[in-house]
Amino acid sequence: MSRVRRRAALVVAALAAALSPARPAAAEDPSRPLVGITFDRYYDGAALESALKTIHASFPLFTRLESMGASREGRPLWVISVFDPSGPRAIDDRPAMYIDGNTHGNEVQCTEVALFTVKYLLERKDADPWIGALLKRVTFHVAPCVNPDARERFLHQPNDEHSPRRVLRPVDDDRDGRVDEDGPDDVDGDGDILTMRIADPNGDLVDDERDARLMRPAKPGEKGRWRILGAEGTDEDGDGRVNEDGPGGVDPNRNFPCEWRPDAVQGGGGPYPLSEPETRATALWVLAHPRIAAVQSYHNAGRMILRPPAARTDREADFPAEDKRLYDELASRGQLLLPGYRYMQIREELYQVWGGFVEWTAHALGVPSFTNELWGLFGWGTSVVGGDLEALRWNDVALHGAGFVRWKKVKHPTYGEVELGGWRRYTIRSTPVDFLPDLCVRNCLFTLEHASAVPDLDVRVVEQAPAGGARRVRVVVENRSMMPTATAWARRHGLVPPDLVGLDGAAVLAAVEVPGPGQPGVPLPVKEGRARLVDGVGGASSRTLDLWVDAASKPTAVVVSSRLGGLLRVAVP
Amino acid sequence: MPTRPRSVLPSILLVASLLAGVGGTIPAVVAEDAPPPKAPEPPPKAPEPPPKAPEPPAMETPPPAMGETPPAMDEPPAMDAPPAMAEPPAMETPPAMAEPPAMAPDAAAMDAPPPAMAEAPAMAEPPPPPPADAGPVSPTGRPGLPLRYRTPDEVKAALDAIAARPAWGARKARVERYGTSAGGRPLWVLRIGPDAAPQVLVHGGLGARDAAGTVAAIAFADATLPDVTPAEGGAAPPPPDDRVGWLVIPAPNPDALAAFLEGKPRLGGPDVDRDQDGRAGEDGPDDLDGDGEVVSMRRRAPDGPFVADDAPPKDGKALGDPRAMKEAGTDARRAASFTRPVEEGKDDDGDGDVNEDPPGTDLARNLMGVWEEMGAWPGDGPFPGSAPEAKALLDLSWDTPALVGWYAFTSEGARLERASERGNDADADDALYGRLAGPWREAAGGVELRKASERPGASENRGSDLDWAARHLGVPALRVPVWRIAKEAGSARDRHDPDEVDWLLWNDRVLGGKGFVPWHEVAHPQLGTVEVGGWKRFTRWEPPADLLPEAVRRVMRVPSVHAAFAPRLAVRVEVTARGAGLASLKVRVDNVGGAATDTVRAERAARATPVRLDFAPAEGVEVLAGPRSVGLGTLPAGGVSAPTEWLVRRAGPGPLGVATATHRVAGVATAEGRLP
Repeated sequence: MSRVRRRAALVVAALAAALSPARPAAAEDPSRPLVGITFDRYYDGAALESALKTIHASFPLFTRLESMGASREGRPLWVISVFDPSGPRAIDDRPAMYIDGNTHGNEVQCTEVALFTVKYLLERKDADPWIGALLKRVTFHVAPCVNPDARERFLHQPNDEHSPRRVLRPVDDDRDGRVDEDGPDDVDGDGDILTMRIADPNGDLVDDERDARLMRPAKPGEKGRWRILGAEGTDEDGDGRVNEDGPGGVDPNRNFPCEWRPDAVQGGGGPYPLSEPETRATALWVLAHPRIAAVQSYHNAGRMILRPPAARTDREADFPAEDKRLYDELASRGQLLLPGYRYMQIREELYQVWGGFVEWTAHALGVPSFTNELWGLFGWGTSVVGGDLEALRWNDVALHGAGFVRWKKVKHPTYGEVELGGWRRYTIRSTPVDFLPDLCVRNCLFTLEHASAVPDLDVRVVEQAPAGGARRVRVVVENRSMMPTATAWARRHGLVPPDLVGLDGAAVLAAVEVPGPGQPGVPLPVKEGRARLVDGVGGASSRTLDLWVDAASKPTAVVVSSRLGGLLRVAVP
Repeated sequence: MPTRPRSVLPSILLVASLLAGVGGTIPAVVAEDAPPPKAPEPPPKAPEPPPKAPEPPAMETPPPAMGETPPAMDEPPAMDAPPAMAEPPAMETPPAMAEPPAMAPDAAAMDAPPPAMAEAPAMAEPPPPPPADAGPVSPTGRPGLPLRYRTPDEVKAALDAIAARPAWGARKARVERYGTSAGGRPLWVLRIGPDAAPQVLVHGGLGARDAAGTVAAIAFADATLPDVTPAEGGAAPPPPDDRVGWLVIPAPNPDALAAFLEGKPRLGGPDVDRDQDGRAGEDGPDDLDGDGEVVSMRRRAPDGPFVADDAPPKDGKALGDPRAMKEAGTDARRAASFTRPVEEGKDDDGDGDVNEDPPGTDLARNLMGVWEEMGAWPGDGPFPGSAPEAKALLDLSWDTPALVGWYAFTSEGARLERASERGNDADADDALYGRLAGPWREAAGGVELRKASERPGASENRGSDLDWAARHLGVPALRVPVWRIAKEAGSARDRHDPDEVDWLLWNDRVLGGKGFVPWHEVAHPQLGTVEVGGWKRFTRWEPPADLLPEAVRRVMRVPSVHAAFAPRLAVRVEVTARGAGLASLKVRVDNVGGAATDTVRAERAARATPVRLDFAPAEGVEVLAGPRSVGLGTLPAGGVSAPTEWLVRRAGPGPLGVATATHRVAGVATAEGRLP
């Protein structure tokens, strides 16, 4: 019932915020210090650093800004924590949500969505009571870009929608003893890496009658006209092949220590888990923040809300039905906010990922985790052969044709005359800037919904009764939120320690779980003077315990310590 | 479905076992690796006379010993022994005390002649007897570095001394830093050239007590690049025929080495919160009785799973020893039973568990081995390579593309052990191991070879360095333990390798019984009365200082075997004149080395690279047809590639061009074609 009411409150608050007349967007307005952080642009490393520092300087009591470490080329891996210090618990005693983006260098809009979330939380915490309350209860850790080297190249160097994707460990892709010596090149100097084709009477392609920008395979008996030479580029190493050894070689989202597999099984896994400075720094930082109870890792593209397992089917993993229901419920709320987004199990409905980040957070750390695949109106392909007519139509209407470069003749050092054409960046995978604000707010709201589901523990003493030399203290531990303090997966694999219930001023000598009426009590394990709830506290449920202490002791507070639920101390009345 | 245990306890026990000998590794527990003798007994014999003049290999030049912890590494309780030493034809003389072979230059030879020293000179005059801890003598008669336990600083000094020696042929050495330990110590590798050759990595142990492995790795480097400065009037020895270079890392875990030699054994690497209580490394072993030794601890318990292994003697020979323990099983005659022995220690953090979270990370379980289960990392630490020492070793080896072999000198073990990954392609390189087995055994003085997984009591290790090398780098990997004993004549137990009873008999015979702390009652702060007992340092799990030199000499040359198992390329060019200045060249590439250019595992690990053949025409030569570069795949040992053909044109006789074969491991070979 309270959930329904809070849902209604959310809708009202969101409407109110959306409909309220805009305040003047003046940079000098001291009441809106973040007004200059806009989402009609992409932030490169320097701009992101500047924006984060502005945020921290504007809200020094509500944020912490630090670097998780450095990328291979030495760029900082920023993480900003957002919280309301006036909440009842210490900041690091609260459950937390971790959000990151741009794991793949070409998936740039993830950074803006993450940055938007920081701004949104800070700007709306006073106007929107639901957000205000959330920020007092849950700490947000936001790492807008965890692959800054590749991002910088995507933003500032010739590239296409798909490159550069990986982190920049030099890898000898073509195994010729030289590393990264033959990547794509901007042959015509227009700033884009396009597709290269050559006229060839023996070619396998002909012009597509539906749209001259596309080609289609020649039919049997039909004379060919074109042959695709691959991405725009030259044969830098003179081995007769073009672009066969481009920059970078380890896929950071295949490099995490859970269900990891080497390159021989899946390209991009890297030498060993967390072999890369970016992934290792991220993992060590996450491990050092054990209160993280929810994770969102943004990617593009394809408009999806993805849940683990990523390496195995639910059946292979024996994925717990209880956990699936939790993901289903959160995803269904996400779909309200993100129309057109499909909710998918990664392995079953997308593809198999070994060593993915959310596999690690969900299945090695026990933290419910999603990956949103942002944008991508027409899937994530940008082929110039066959389909994508819809994409071209959209390009003509929304971008006025600017997203697709029509075929043009160019002199190539090896091939002679070739033609270049195809999709540019910021079209089908990365969001055109005009569409960023809408993308940001919708995904941001989904992560806030996810964050609001982390365990919300309360504890109270309901009865104290002397019993000879002992005293019985009856407490009720309640989890008012959707997520359990330990998912079924975490319980099965022993990923999180038991929740501990103790008393300040009195060691618990014995503890009994008080079940429903007519049921016998169940003794609970006690260690170091605290009762241990090995299975944690389920979502939207409570557990009633009798804690037995020495009658002479004077309990002053009841203390609940939960890895994912946080630390809670409530005075004994 | 193998999954991470719900409780962290099993993994804690696993870790504790490395230090304490819990479970399969209790020093005083005998694993049942062989049935008791069933064959007809030999005729009764009088007990063996004590060996002549039991010159107690005194522990008076003791290593800086204070305490002892039970075994490092995942060594089993049961000792297996090399067959060459294990089955002496006659049992009259205990093999360990056999007369030194007459020709053995070293009076300290224990029970086997030292392996042939390939580079030892034929000396005209017998030199003065070398000191007992003399290191390998150079071909020009110069002494090597003494064979003694060394602290990390002393290891560095030894490496510097070797690196300062003059080059010998292509062999020259340099010391490089490849990382930093958790405790801030530099990690050093000695690279012994040639650099442009297949590389073999040789490291000391990663465990908490692998100090003897460190000594062996230094001795190997010492013997590989000896000081060949000629004696006065003498001649320099001919340069060796070098086919491989070496990366020698005597102390990959310097924090543990230092702690062990200081008498406070502990794992290296950063502390780990194994019991998930928010504190890392807060509950390790303790010296309860203040005797300076951390040994084992047990409690009497009516239904305990262990009993004393005290079978009465048979025909005057020991079938058991009251100090040893064994699993009680259903033994009906159990008089007293005990809890599972654990490492001596108390509950430092007051959580009710003892030694559940010892300081450090077990580096021997922190590399990336074979891990295919769901859930969290089952090795030690939060993830593979979490310890900086482990990561540094992973990175150094991964970034050595020409790696062709991996050797790990460790302290103790009855046999050589090869990598033993699981999975359906685990034995893919059995043929190569089969060819290596003989030379390995010979170089180790007859010690047998087994898979690491075949060791009695071996527990699964997802983070083994051997599996990292074999599975991910695709190179054959071998563990070479330094310390072992022969089977004792006084034991009637029919085991292939020496077991705990042999060790206890050896302790009594050689150490005068001083190596084993007898079980004795101690008041435990939390557990009431417990019994404490077990092996001191420098006894069971690493050699006493005076037995160290001979133990090292026996195995220190094992890695040098690998020089004959590296691939090497040669190019053959066949020129046919076609007239009118036209000529065709047929080029073949031979692998004239002792191993394929890549192993089967390297191919499956996608680390293999094809042999590449390029042709560069000479000046004035026009190439009419033929590839710029061609991949020839993997060439087996003795294999020849299919021919690659070029058609060229040249006015008049002279050079046509150079064909160059290249491979990541096998290096470069060239040949020129000429028009006659």
